[in-house]
Amino acid sequence: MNALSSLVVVLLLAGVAWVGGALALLRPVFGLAVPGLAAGIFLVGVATRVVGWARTPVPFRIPTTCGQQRSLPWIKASWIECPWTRSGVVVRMALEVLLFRSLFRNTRGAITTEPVAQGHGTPAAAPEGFPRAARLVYGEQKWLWLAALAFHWSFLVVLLRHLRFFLEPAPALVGVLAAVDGFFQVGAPVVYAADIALLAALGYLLVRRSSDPQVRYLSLFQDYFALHLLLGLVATGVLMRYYVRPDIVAIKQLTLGLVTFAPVVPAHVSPLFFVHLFLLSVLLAYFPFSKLMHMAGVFLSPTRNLANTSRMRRHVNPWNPPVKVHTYEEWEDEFRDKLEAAGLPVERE
Amino acid sequence: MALTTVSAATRDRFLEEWLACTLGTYPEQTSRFLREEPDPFRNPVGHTLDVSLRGLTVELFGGFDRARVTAWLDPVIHLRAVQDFSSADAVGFVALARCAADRVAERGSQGIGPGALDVLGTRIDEMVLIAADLLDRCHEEIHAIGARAARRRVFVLERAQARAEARAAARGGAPRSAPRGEIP
Amino acid sequence: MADQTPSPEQLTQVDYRPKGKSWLDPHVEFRKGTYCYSAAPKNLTYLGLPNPRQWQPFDQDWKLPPDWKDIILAGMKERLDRYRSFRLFMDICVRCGACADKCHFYLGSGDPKNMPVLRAELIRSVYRRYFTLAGRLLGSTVGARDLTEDVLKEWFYYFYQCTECRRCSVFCPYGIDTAEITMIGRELLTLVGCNINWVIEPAANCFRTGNHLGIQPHGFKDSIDFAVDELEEITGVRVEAPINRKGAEVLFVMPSADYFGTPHYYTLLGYLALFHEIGLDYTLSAFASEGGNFGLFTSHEMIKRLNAKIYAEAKRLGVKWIIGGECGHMWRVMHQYMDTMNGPADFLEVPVSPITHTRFDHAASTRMVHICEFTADLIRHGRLKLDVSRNDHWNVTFHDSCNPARAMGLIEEPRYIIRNTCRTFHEMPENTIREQTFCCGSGSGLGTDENLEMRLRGGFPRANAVRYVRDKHGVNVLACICAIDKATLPPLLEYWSPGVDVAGVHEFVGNALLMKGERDRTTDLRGEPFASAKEDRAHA
Repeated sequence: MNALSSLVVVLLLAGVAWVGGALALLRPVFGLAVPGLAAGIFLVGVATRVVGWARTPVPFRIPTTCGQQRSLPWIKASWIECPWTRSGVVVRMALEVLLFRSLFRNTRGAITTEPVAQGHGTPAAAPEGFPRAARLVYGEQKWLWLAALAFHWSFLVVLLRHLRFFLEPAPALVGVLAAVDGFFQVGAPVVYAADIALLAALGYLLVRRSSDPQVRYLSLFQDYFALHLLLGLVATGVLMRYYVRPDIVAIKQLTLGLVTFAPVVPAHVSPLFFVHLFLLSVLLAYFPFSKLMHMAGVFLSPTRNLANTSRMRRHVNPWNPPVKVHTYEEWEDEFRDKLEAAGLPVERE
Repeated sequence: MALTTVSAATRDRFLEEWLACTLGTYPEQTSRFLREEPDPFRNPVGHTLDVSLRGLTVELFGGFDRARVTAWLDPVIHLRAVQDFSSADAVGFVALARCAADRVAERGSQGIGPGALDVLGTRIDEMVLIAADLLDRCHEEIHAIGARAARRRVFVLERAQARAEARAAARGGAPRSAPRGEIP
Repeated sequence: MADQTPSPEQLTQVDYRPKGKSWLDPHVEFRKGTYCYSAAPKNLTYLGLPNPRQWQPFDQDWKLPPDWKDIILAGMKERLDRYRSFRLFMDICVRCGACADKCHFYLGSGDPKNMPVLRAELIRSVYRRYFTLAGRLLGSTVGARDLTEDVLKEWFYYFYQCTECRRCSVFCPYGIDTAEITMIGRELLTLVGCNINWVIEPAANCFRTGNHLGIQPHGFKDSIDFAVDELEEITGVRVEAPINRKGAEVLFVMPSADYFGTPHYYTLLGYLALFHEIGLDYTLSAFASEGGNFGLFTSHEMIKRLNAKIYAEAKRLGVKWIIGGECGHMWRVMHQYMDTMNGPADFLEVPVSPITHTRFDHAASTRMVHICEFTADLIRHGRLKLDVSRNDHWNVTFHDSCNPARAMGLIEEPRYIIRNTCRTFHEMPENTIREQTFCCGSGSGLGTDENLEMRLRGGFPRANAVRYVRDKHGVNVLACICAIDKATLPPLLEYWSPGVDVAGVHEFVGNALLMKGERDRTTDLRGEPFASAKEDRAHA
């Protein structure tokens, strides 16, 4: 249901953009105004959200420790999984952000195939001659890690490759990237590995979300919407790159115009390009209000970005309020007879 | 007996059907996980069901030794006794074996013959009764476990108080006030 | 599910699967055995907590204050502004489902709302509705829910079905910690008086008398004296266990269960023997007679109120530093909260072991050392004479308690002690120990009788791993360093893995410790004959 409705919404958006790109009257709107506005919303929105989080205090030092603490010098402490230095935290965060360390932890260790003794009290082995049937190994969580990694990295590569539309001349980095990415040259035009990875990863994430009963149950409209939007964006990009070759020169005129604040709308741009641009605009404008903000949020997560130095250095809570406590004096007064009868020392006789 | 001549493939199909019926008693969001996750520590419930139903299937089509049947049933009953099932549902998965048998029998010559099906049905009925007994025992066990846990919580306190009071009495002192103070 | 007993034929037709209801439907059924009783009004009144009244979770009418909704929403707003963790965790979850099968309650029950992500969504859906633009405009389309009484009841059901063990947070790519969300959820419930008695009564008792059971000072002294007597009977050595003694070097704080429950008590005997043998200059306190802190399961404010006495008492007694006993959630508080809430502890000194002169720099600010760190250091320096054969009747495995493992990283110290006091030690499977340890299923104040079924279910993943090492290696004791574990693992193992006892790490120390002037010991601290004594008897 959610999957379907979000798909319909994305298709509608695409349709709107197609019409907008086809009508000369609307082209300036879809070519210039919408992208400009979206970029503005993105920048202001993300900044607002990040500042909002950053201004919210972290009252307690609550890292999740995933390894041995630093305590006695002869016990090998885990400087990354349970960091106590700034560099440890930086490495932990880098592993988290660049390699999705925690998701990787999610992979299963060695799978025990030996029959585990059963039966209550009296262990009974699995029945003889009838061992566990060989089954497909359910490596789902590893795939999640792989797909997530593939998606994020290839998205970054594709994004960087797009720099050639915004910078004149294109930076050398873009050339190098394109060369590496297109290493597995298959015919012409060059097929980029990142494009394939991106599509495959998004496809997997979508299939997983809609077919795994657990994940499907907890998925909301916006979860599918983000995936469909990204798929639409990538699909239109791939179409333009490999099938419907639009007028690249005209497009570059438009994009350069956008970033140099000298807007021009060239006449011969395919409506497909407008769909691509519009979906991107929607993504940008939607970004700050969505779960996609995890991109920035992960850096601020207190269970990951704090060192486990809770007992080494005092952490200050800026709003630490006074509370009503039960003082020793009150306690002694209440139990004086009993303290004295038991021969326990008291402050006041 | 006709049951021993049932082919291994049929027996496997029966097990698959029975497992599927049993997993169907769990929320649909969970049953696939219970079925597919092979790590016995990550999926103890699915693993327990798998191993036990496997063992029970061997007994159903084999010797049907009461003691062994009880031993195989026990872990599952322990499990279902504390899951969110009514008593009927907790042991009901055993009766679902009939459903599995019927489905397998429908497949004609490859399946289970009518005579064998009758024997199987009788065995399943007996298994239901064993399961009901086991469930009863689980409930008693839970009750006893709760009572013992409550005792353990104050085990030292009670003994310490008894000794302190005995000593106070021996000294001829006044009776001591209770160690625990109720919130006024 | 139907209550009448159906015939097998009917049964085969029954479709048990809950209809494909969306999780947005908040209805829960309070079945006996799965919930905890409400807090007694006198306990709430004593602590000055809101809305004391007679009610039970299964009642139709929860007697909420008329403006309960405003109270909750204002409470949420306040907490969103005060806790970055809460605000961030509300915002950034992508519902990837990596946490789904990490919760012991989910694994044991199969109830999808026990998936950590959904536990958080219970509150996140309300956050969306009242605090985000999309939720205000689009409502349930984007997973936003109105705050209704049913939602509140659902919160109560599921936030008191989370043990705040943090296992899910280990696997979350953003470090979203369900424990943080549950803590806030319970705080909000506290604002309208929806608490459980098993948490609030210990908290009230602790506030008043100093410990959970409400033991008054003379009762505390009786228990300690009793332990001293029994230790003498077993070892022939008379130890000192001073209480409220000013000028001692160290204040020792333990969970109160150590001196009134079993098997905790044998750990206490272990501490007493150890401190005597090394000649530690220490004192206990009848005022700070509880290290545990059920405030952690109520609200941040209550943590601070209950915890205040530790530093206050250390200051009054003029000690130099503090040692803390074997306890899980107590150590979460001591490690992550105490210094921030009630520090700075500038009246104390940086802990230095008087025996080995090791400076515990990792506790330089809080100035409190875990007994396992202290003892491991003693053993490492060869300052204890240990006869490991006296633990030969034990075949040990170690359960990492959630809080020491995932909130402190105290993982190797207890293992080092076990390896040096016991000869047979087997680890449970890798994905059930250390930072991936499974909870006992009864933490965070859920260890009561009325919800035993739910606890047995939640503890199954843990017990399942214990059963594995029992069958594979003949393990007969599960060691742990948590008072809640020691109270709740025995019932769990009686049910799932009979024949495995539960013991504290310092019980092994007490058994193995060769004390000056001890008599020829033939039994361990439990009065059970040593393995060697058993053999002798067999030969005779």
